Amino acid sequence: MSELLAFTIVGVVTGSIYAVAASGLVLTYTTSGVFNIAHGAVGMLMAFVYWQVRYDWGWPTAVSLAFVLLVAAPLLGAAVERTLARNLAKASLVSSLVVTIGLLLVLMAVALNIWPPEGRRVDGFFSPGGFDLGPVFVTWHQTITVLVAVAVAIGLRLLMFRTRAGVTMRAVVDHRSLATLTGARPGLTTALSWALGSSLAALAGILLAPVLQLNVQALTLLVVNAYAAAMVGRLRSVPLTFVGAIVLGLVESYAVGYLPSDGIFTNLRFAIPTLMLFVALLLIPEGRVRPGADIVARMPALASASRAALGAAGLVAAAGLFALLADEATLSRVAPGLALGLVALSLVPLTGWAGQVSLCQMTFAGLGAFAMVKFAPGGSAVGLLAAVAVAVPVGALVALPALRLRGLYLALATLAFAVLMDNMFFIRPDVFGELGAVRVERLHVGGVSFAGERAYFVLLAAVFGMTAAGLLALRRGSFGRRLSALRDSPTACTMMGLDTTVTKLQVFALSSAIAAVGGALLAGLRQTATAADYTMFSSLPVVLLAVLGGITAVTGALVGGLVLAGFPVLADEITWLDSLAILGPGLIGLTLARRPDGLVLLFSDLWSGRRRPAPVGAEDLPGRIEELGLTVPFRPAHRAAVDRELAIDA
Amino acid sequence: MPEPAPPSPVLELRALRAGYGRIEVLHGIDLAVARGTLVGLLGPNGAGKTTALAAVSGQVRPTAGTIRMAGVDVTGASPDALARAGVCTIPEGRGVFPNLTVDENLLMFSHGGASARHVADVAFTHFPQLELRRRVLAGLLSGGEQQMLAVCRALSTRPAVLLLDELSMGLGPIVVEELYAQVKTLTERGVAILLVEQFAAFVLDVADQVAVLVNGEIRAAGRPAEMAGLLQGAYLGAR
Repeated sequence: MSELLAFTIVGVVTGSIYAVAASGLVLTYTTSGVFNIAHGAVGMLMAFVYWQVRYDWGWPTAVSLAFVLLVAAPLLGAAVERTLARNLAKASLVSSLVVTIGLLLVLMAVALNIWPPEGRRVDGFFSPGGFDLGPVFVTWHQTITVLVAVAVAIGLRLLMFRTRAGVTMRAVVDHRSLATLTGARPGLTTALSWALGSSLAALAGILLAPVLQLNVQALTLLVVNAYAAAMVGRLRSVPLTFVGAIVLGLVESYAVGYLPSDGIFTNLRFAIPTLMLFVALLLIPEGRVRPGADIVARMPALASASRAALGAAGLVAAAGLFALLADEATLSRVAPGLALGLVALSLVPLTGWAGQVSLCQMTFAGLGAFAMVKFAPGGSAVGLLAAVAVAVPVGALVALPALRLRGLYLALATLAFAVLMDNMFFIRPDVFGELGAVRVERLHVGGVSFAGERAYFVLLAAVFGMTAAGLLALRRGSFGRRLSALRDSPTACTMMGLDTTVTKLQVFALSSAIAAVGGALLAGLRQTATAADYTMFSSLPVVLLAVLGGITAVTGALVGGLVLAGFPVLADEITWLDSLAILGPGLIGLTLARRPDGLVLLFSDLWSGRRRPAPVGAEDLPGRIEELGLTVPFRPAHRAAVDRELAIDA
Repeated sequence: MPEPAPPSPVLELRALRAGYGRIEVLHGIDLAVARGTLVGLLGPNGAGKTTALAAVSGQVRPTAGTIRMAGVDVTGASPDALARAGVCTIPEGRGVFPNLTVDENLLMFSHGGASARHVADVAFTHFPQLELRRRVLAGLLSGGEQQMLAVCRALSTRPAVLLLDELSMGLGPIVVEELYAQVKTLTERGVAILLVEQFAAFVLDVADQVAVLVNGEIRAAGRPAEMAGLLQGAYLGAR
């Protein structure tokens, strides 16, 4: 009995922290429409700031708390809203996700640079004091945590329903243009809600720090738990979010307490937010059907079959030439770019063409590496087939929530899945060995060995080229058209009798297969596979760089992969910035708030801008649009001009 | 004894051009609304009536021409700044927040400067039936009640200029007449009102002046009685 009480108290305390974090997430999401993946990272950074002022500089606790919660965190939140979130209100889902992913990576890099990992203690409030509740000792910190959550719940309720500022926040969500017409300032209101959300993240971080200690990654992952709780309230309702958070805390606590801690139950605790998320996603009633389409990224012109084949052959030839001329050290620095490019390529049909955002491609790559280790220890080509065979069913499994839901929900489900796999699968000794690293042999196919650096480099280029050409062939066919239709308007697809379920499953399977092959080849390239290579945190830069290159273009994936491989090289050269490998992609993500189309389209615009016929001048258009077609013939020039005005790409 | 010079108009548009991207909708319109008068802007679908109101309320930036309020050039001012300066816009559709209660809607209306208590007092004096439903979400009110709530913003905030777009949309004639009667009382308090309406009949009864907008140009302007005959031709595309 006392055991049950003890676990219940721990569960309620943890749930309270999740509730504080999740309510901040709901607040910013509903008022600005931007889901802040960096919400946990904000809490993490602010927990470190708290440690800095409270423990390193020895400020009094009250002053430290006031500084972090009332000054530092609100300033950070408002600054993020001003510089990033504001530009994203009308951006496509993938660009808005990528920007907050960039923010997450930047905040992590900043924290790692300022506070390199070492043992830092944050004590609970009034630690180690407490009181006896029957047979169970309850610390003051636990008591305060629960009281804080209750205060936040009541405070938010009063704010949102009893004050004009809160009512204005809800009004801005409800009808933004009307809010403007009443004289409210929507920009200021949104900035205020971000400031408040950031403070709540900071509060959760500070409350969690004595429990988890100051660990950059663990605190950043708080966003997954917060998201699982918020999903119970459908990212809208604060009271339901609190319910979800408490349930999550209790289930976690009971699971730790009562389930066996060996066998498949190892680390089950980490799986619970994900499992709860999937349950919530699958049980959640279908949202209202939104008419029209999501805003989507631009598509590049589709290459013909001969041009695609020529491009692939050109890539292999260039790789061969490079392999002959460059020394092995250079080669080994460029080669990961090709393998990572292949993983990025897996996002092109999925995210670029079909509009489904996945944040777990490195998890599939890890499955590919695992298949290579298990089924082809000598480096036989069977390994690649096994990689595909393992990844396809898992990809279909992840797609399950996507069958009913789309957009943000799906993207966050993939994020949670990646965290689940990090903690439940890759960490297991029978996956990548007791030490977490195993040797992987390089491929040999039909008596031809690719063990040498040069041969393996050309092999990577050839696989990338063939996959890209194959994808383009698919894109030209009916499957490609179905993907575009799915992306443009799932509603219209259903109306026309297209089976969106099958299409989604197919594209997920395809994408995870490509990522798995990329992962298998990456493991072969490094000749070793470790759990650290395939974490959720390593998936994020891949998405970022794929978007930087151009998520809709196969060439964009190559550019993205090569840039991604370049950062560790740069980090080797610039020793004063240890975390450049994280900071670089993060900074790039932030710039994408302005230019979401990617480099490939940017360059193709610049290139074709030189050759395109001169734009239609204003004098070529009739003065009155309504006379077009009646007294003035409607010519292609008019259509082009109108398209340009409406920002439609021909 | 010479006639006193007419007071300068509260709202004045001069050669106003506006549109979306390079597609111009208003091809230079001139319009003036004097203190305490109600001007009706009539015209067929797609004439540019809503665009004209959007330009005056700051939601669409004019490409040329000027908008003056009481002689001050306000061309290009932001909609929330204009709202705080005394321009009350009731947009097409329902000018209420559907997921906020009646009380909360009234609270939002106090952003213009009036106190929240005053807004509620005025609202419940003019439309007692709203008081019975003050804790109901505005989206659950009947169409007429929603429009009453929207009109409360005009009644309670003492604007200098009131812009009304298609008040009659989707409502029965009796409700529309009641609403227009309330709106008309504002002219006695000196409010300059510009209202856009597709159904001319309602407007011809209450307006002091009527302007007919066709294809983004003012085709005719004058007293309601003079305009009544012209309207049919303008709507049907006669030139």
